Formats: sequence, C-alpha cells, structure tokens
Amino acid sequence: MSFLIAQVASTTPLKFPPIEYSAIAPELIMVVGAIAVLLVSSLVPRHISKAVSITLGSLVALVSLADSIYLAFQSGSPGADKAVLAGAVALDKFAVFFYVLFSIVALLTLLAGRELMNLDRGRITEFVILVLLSTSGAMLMASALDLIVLFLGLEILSISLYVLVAMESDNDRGRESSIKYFMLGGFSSAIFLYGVALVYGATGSTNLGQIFTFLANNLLKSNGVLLAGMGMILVGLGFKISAVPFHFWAPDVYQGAPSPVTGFMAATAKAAGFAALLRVFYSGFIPFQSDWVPLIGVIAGFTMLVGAVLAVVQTDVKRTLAYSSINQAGFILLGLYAASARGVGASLYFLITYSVVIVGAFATVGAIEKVLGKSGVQIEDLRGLSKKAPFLAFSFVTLILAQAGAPFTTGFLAKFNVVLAAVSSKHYPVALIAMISAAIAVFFYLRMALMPFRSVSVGAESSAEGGMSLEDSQYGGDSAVMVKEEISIDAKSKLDSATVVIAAAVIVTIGLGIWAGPLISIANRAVLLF
Amino acid sequence: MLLPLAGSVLNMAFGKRLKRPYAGIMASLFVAASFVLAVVTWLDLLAKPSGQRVFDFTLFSWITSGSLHLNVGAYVDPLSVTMILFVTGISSLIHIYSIGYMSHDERFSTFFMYLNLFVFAMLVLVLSDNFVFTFLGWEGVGATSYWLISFWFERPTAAAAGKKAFIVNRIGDFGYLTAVFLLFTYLGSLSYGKVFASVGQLSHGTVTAIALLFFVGAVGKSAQLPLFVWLVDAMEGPTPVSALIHAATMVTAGVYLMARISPILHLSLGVGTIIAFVGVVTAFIAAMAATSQTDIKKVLAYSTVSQLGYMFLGIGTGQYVAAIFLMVTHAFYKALLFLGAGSVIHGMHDEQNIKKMGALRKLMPATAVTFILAWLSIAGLPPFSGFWSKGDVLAGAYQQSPLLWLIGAITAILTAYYMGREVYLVFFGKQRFDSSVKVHESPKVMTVPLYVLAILSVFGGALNLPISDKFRFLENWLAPVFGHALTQSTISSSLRFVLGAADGVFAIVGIALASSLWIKSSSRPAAEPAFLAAAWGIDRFYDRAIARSSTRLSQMFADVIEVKVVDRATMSVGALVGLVARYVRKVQSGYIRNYALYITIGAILILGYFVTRAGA
Repeated sequence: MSFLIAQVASTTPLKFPPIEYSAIAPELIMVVGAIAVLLVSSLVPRHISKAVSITLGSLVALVSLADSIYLAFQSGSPGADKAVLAGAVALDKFAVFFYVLFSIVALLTLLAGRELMNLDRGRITEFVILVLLSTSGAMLMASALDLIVLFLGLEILSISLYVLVAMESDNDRGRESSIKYFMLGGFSSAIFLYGVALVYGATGSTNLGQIFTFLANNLLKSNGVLLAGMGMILVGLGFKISAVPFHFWAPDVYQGAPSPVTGFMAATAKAAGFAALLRVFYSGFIPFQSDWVPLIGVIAGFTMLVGAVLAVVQTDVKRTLAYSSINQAGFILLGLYAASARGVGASLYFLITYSVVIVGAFATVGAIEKVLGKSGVQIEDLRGLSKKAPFLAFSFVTLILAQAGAPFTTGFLAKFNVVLAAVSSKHYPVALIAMISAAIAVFFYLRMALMPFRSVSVGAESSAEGGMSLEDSQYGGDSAVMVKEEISIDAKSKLDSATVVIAAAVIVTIGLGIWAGPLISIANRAVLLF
Repeated sequence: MLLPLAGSVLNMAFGKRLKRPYAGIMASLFVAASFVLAVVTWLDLLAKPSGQRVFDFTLFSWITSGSLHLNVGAYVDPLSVTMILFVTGISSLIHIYSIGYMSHDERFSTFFMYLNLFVFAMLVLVLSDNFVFTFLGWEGVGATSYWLISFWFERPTAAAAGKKAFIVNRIGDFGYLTAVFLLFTYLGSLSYGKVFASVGQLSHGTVTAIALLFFVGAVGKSAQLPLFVWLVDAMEGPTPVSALIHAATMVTAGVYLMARISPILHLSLGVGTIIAFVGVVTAFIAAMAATSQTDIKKVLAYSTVSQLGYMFLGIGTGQYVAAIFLMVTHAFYKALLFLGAGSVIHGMHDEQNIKKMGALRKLMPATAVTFILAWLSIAGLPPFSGFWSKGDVLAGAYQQSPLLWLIGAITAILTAYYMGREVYLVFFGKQRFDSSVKVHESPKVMTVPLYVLAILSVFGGALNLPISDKFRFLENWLAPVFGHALTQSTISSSLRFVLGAADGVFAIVGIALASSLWIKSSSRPAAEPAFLAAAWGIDRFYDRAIARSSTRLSQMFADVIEVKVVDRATMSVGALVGLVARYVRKVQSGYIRNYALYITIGAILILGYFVTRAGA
C-alpha cells in the first residue's frame, strides 16, 4: 500500500491545499449528520423512524449551532478575513454570523416540520436530510470566497429546496410550484454562472480576494465585460432574495410549498442570497462601488414598493406573507444601499430577526392550517381565531406586528436602524420610499392582525369596512359560515414541537425587541470590511 | 420592581382558572414581596454614608440612536426609595383589603391584574433613571387608572368618568412631553444624572419654560386647578382603586415629578411662586367644595385635591421635604379614609349618600374608630401625623409670604370642618336609613389593613419631628437629594412654636364648628350652598365652554373636513394603491414562461444600465 501511494505522489504534481476542517465544520456537521440520519433511520424499526430522524436531525442542527458559536469566539476581528482552503472559504465573523443563523433556522424548521409536514412515515427522513443538506449549501454560500464555491453552495441549497417544496404527495400545488421554482431557479443559476464566467474573463480569477486586488491595482481599459458579469451575478442573487423584478416566483412558490418549508425558504434561502450578495459585492467589487450602489438603491425602492402594494390586494395569508417578505427584502437591500458599516450592520440585524419572525410566522400559519383542517388559509378564515386557538392568534398577531415594525418587537428596531442608516448616508429619496412602503404595508398587516379578533357572525359587514372593497368581500358571509362549522374540529392547540417553535419565535421577537442591545452589537461586529 | 408585572402576567394567564380569593392572594403576595425588596433596598442605602446614597444602575441599553441613549435602568436615591416604600407598602395593604371588597365581583382576577399592572407602572415611574421611562410609567399609571375607573363599565357614568380622566390627563401629558423634547433639544440627554448635571448651562428663559411645562404635566396628573375635574368623577371606580390610585399613589406622581426635577425648578424664575399659588388656591377651592358634598367619596375626593394643593404649596415654596412628608402621611390617612369609606359602603350595601347614614359607630365599631383617627389626623390635631406634616408646609409658606400662609390656614380650618361634617353625618347622630338594611361590619381581611393604616396615621408624624434636628429623620434622609434646591428654614423656633400652636387651634376650631353644626342635625341648607356642591360650577363651565364647543368644532371637523378632505384623500390613495395593484397583479400570471421573460427583462435593464456606465 505505502508503495502505491508513494508512486502516485511522485508521479502526480497535484498539490492538495491544507484542509482546515475546523473552519468548515458546521457544513461538515450538516452533511455528515444528514448521512447519519439516513443510515440510522433505515436501520431502526419503521414505527420509530420518524421520531428518530427528527430527533437526530435536531441534534445535528444543535451540534452545528454549538460549533458555530464556538467558532464565533475563535474567529478573527472584523475585516481581517481568515481565508482557508486555499483561499476558497473564509472563516470570519461574517461567515460565523450566518452559520449561527442557518443552524437556528434549521433547528426551528425541523421542529416545526415534525408536526406540520403532511408526510408519509418514511418521507419525514427525507425531509430532515434535505433540510440539513440545504443548510450546508447556505453555509457554504455565506463563507465562500470563490465564485465557483459560491455557485456550488447555491446549487446545494437550491436543489434540496426544489425537492422540499414538492414533498407533500397529496399537494398538487406544491408540485406545481416546485417545477416553477426549479425551472426559474435553473434559469437564474445559468445567468449567475454566465456572470461568473464574464468576471473571470475580465479579471482572470474567480477568487474574490484576487478580484479585489486586481480591480484595485489595475485600471481597466474597457470595463464592459466586468460590468456585464457583475450585472448577471446580481440577477442570479436577486432571484434568490426575491428582489424586484426577479420576485415573480416567490408568491406562487411560497403559497404552494408546505408552510414549514416556506418558512425555511423565506429565511435560509433569502439570508444565503444576502450573504452572497454582501460577500461578492462588498469584498470583491467594492472598487466599482459607484457603479453598482445606485442600482441597489433602485432595486431596493422597487422591491419595497411592489411588495407592499401587491400585498394589499392578496386574500391568501401565505401569499400576503410572501409579498411581505419581498417588502422586507427591500428593506434589507436598503441597508446595503447605505454602503456603510452602519447600513450593513443594520441589514444583518434585520436578517437575523426577520428570519426568526418569518420561520415563526409560517409555522404559525401551518398550525392554523392544521386547526382549520385545510391547506391554504384565506385571511377571512382567521376570523374568530382568538376564540378557537388563543395561543396561535396571539403568536400570529405578534409576528405580524413584528413584520409591520411595531415597537417592542425586533421588527421595529430592524426597520428603524435600516432607515436610519439610509438617512445618515443621505439617501433621502429611497428612505422616503421606505417610509411610504412601510405605511402602505401597515394597512395589510393590520388587516391580518385584526382578523383573529373579529367575530365570526358579523362577517359580511365588517369585511367591507376594511377600507377598500376587497375582492373577496362578497364571499365574507360564506366563509364565515364555513368557519363556524369547523369550530368543532380541533379547538385547542396541543403542546407539541411546533408550538415550541412558535413560542420561541414570539419570545425572541419580543424579548430581543426590549432587550435589544446585545444582538445589535453582534450584528454590527459581523460586518465585513469598512 | 418586576414582581408586580409578573403577578399581573400570571393573573392574566391563569387568573380565570384560579378560585376567587387565590388570584387576589397571589397578587397581594407579589406586591408584598416587592415591598420587602424595597425595605431591603432602604436598609442597604441606610447603611451607607448620606452622601453616597445614590445608585444609578443600568440594566441594559434599549435604544442607541445618534445622540439618544436610552437605558433601562433604575435610579435609586433616598427620594425614590421613600416613594417605593410607601407605594409598595400601601399597595400591599390595599391589595389585601380588595380581596374582601371585591369578593362579590365577577371579574375578580381581572381586577387584580389591573391593580398589579398599576403598581408595576408606578414603580417604573418612580424608579426610572430617565425622562422617557418615567413617561412610560406615567402613561402606564394613566392607562391602568383609566381601566380601573371604568372597571364597572356597565355603568355609563363609570365609562364616562374613565374617559374624562383620560382626556384631561392628555393635556397634562402634552406639557410633559413638550418639556422632555425641549430638554433633549437643548441638552441632548434624557437621563436624570446628565440632565441635572448640565441644566445649569441653559438660559433662565429655557429652564423656566421647561419647568412650567413639567408643571402642566404635574397639574394634570395631580388634579390641580384648572385640571382637577377628573379626579372627582374618578370616584366611580371601585373604592380600593380610589384609595390606591386617586388618593395615595398615582395622583402624587405629579408631586414626585416636581420634587424630582427640583434642580430645574431651582434655576427657573418665578415658577415656584406660580406653583405655590396654584397649590394653595386649589387647596382652598377644593376644601370649600368638600364642605357641601353629600357623597361619602366625593368629600374625600375634594379633600384629596385640597391636600395635593398643600403639597404643591410645599414644592412651590421650596419645602420639598415638607411636601414629601405631607405626601407620605397623606397617603396613610387618606388611604385609611377611603378604605373606611369603602368599608361603610360595603357594609351599607352600596349606599354612598352620607345623609342616609348616621349612627354607624355602633354597628361598625372597627371602621368608626379607624375613620375617626384618620379624621383627627387630616384635621391636623396634635399629635397626629397630619399636624406635623401640614405644620411643616404652612411654616414654609409663612416664610415665603404671609398671604400664602393665611389662605393655607383658612383651608386648614375648612379641612377640619368638612371632615368633621362627614364623620358626624356617617357615624354619629340618628340612624337615617331604613332599618331593613342589614348593616354589617366588614370582614377581617378588610379591617386589618384599616388597623395598620390607623397606626401609621397616628404615629406617621414621628418621621419628621420639628423638635430638634435629630428628630428630623425624613429631612436628614432626603437632604442629599435636594441639596441646595432646598430653601433653608429661617424661622426661629419660637415663631415655629407659635405657628404650630396656631395649627392646632385651627384644627380645634374646625372640629368645633363641625360638631356644633352637624352632630345633631343632618340638614342645614345654608351651610351647603348649591354652587359649592357643584364645585363652584367649574365642571359645568368646562362642559359648556370647552367640551361642548370643542365637540361642536370636532363635529364640524368630522362632518366637513374629515369627510371631504381626509377621507377622500385616504380613500383615493387607498383606491389608487388597490387599482395599481390589481392592474400589476395581472402580470402575475402563473406561467413560467412569463416569469422567465420578466427575469430576462430585468436582466436586460440591469445590463442596459451598466452599458451606460461602461467605457470609461
């Protein structure tokens, strides 16, 4: 044996870079954990395989979280990128911030999925594995220092997601939206990859550090190729964060996917997209700042406005939340647009609080679907929820108000900080758009937040008083009757793992909204560069 | 500080499931626990030398934005500790009392939830280390008081009274907020420590404006002229609420605020005089009104307004310690009076008209004895607590201006008189109610708090005896807080003695007057002119002049401007958004090929933009 290896070594000039496993440990934990779940759950008796795979999966997410927190104390100071694996992966506060975020979201999703995914017994294992793998892709995106590695992460994340969306076998809508997501995702990935190729052509490297050095030290004779590459990368990542005009898939897919998956997608995929966007543009393309920063501002403005305006006319809760999440993405972009340490810090804070809120919100919607006994909740269906399921109604309202930015929730500080950063960078027009869109958004947030407290009997008249005559107002009476019949189905929410997830999200949202200092400073410390 | 909040939350969550008395017992325990904590803090401070008795500890910072730093923290100094001691102490007693008083109410646990929440808000107000959190507490006590006044919202008068309290308080809040904004604009900070350290840099005009605006806030909360009307109506609430909120604690928040901002007051010009005159005139007018009321609680309500006037007199003349001293002793005896009145009402099955009572001392001995002790105390008869505290305030007023003293002295006679009238009408004379009414003494859970408060009312004066400096416990304790803001007493001890003797004489005169008029008779129209019964017609004047005309004005706004301008504007904006959205929504076709097209268009737009940037 030793003879063979010696032979290979002497003949092949391939040099392997030193691999610092500890730097990519969270990713590795996720991948190895996923394989372990697969093995173990196929070995245990069938009737306990669900419990085993969920428990094991949650454990994996917990271990990864613990390791991420450990890395947080190890990793270097802000800006001082610690490049490992031949400069392909970074281990810095920024990456670790996202490791923590993704681990938390994965944990919450698994716990929520245990109750709320409508799956056959065997397939829950697949759910666990896909969530873990998808998370590892997201982590890779956040830490990648090389555009190719970044693309690898993007694909690991996306392919798992395509399957996750279509997991429920009796959900035709889910399958339809999965195909949609898959084709459009492939389309945008192709554009992204093409952009990478162009950037390579212009700079001679796919490594962000080298791209930066090249751009900083050389004056390009013609920058057309580079700019085209940047634009295409922006399109590819804009798709992931559902920025306007690449957002069209989001409402359809968010509505069609099972609620826990939607929550996972809205948190992890979006955060990963933002992580990549930040990493690529703020550490690679920063010398061309004056070219792309205004574009971010325009996209941010449109994203906020379109999200808010279109949410107003929705009648489906998940669709409304999808537009709300588009609106939120606009706010996060606003922080990037500010192009300052303060703005990016505000965006990171926004991202982590938004992730918790959105996972909690979709878990709540999933739980409400379960209580109502149907998939797809109309806003009208929420009527009278405060009587039927007070805990769910309370959580739903809290999480909705957090998205609206009500004080004493994390949402308030998130929006406040982002707008403040934009104002202090003197971006007044877009800051103004942000305020306007927030004002429009309050309309639909309040409409959803008040609905659980409306009584079932006065259905028809009070839905008309919602200001604008909503398209479904004439059906208000009908749906009210329907809800009445369903009251007997399942009146109380049990204490299960989904409840734990929802409660955790609510507690974090309110708790950190009041005791806000630490998380804000953590987010500010994770800022790249500057 | 957080204990009452925890109690309230627990009561909110589980109160309905607990059996009747347990919700109350739990609430009482939480408040009592925070009283114990307050005592511990007090002992802690007492162990330190007097100069170092200030803790400003910060729990965590809540908002940091620009130059605005808001910390969640507590400012513990002798003043705030004095406040929390008597707030939590009296609250505990009243919580216990309420277990008996509210025993028949359907929403028993809700009541205790509100009560706990109130105590929490009050503690936030007192302990906060910055003006913003004080305001949160300020609003918190306002909101809980609103809920509690209209607790029996089935009665339209209760609902209306709650609304009135709320609206009148808004005027005061406006003053408070404006003052806070001014402070922040000029000093860039809102924490007490920083503001007081740098207030000297401001011009006299600014400081005066700020002080006046804070005073407007205090006038609203503490029911002084011209905003006192809400307090009397607030008596629609359950009696323990009147005792706790509208006599002992919340209404003194204005006095506390004034004492807290003493460095600002000290630097302002003439505000002290204004405060003193507003206070003494309020004291006089309210005392006059109290002489002609027939509702047992309304007498006490006007009496509270009048006593608060005395406190402001103390503040205005720079006698902060005297004002706080009066506040504490007043809390003892007025809480006792209200609880006694509550006990009477409870025993008489919701009868509140004093003309329909009489001779109750035999039927309700415990209530009668404690009530009489409280009466002697508020009347200022030596050696009861009211004598000492009112004496301090009046002596300070004499030093400032004999006119203030004179009005205060006349008011003192009136105080002794109207309280005497109430006592005679309720507990002495002939029985004037139907003997079919089964009058009963209240249960132990209600009388024990009465005994405790009675002891405090009688001996509360020992807190600050003017005999020698050694016995001025409260003054020595509070001195570091007020420092140079405190006006030094220049009155010689002989004059002081004369003034004290005069106070005693006033009390005796008032009591004698009351007994000569009311011990036998129950109806003397000459002594109860209608315009006094209607509180000088001030309330009606407001109703006519302000409430109705502003209703008409707002009606006009509602009919014309609201409908034609605001509504149309909002509706058209709403309609516009809806229209645009419905139109844009058609783009959302659901077809993948369309979506891909949009992405392509977007990509082309972005590339097009970059083309314009290319070249260089």
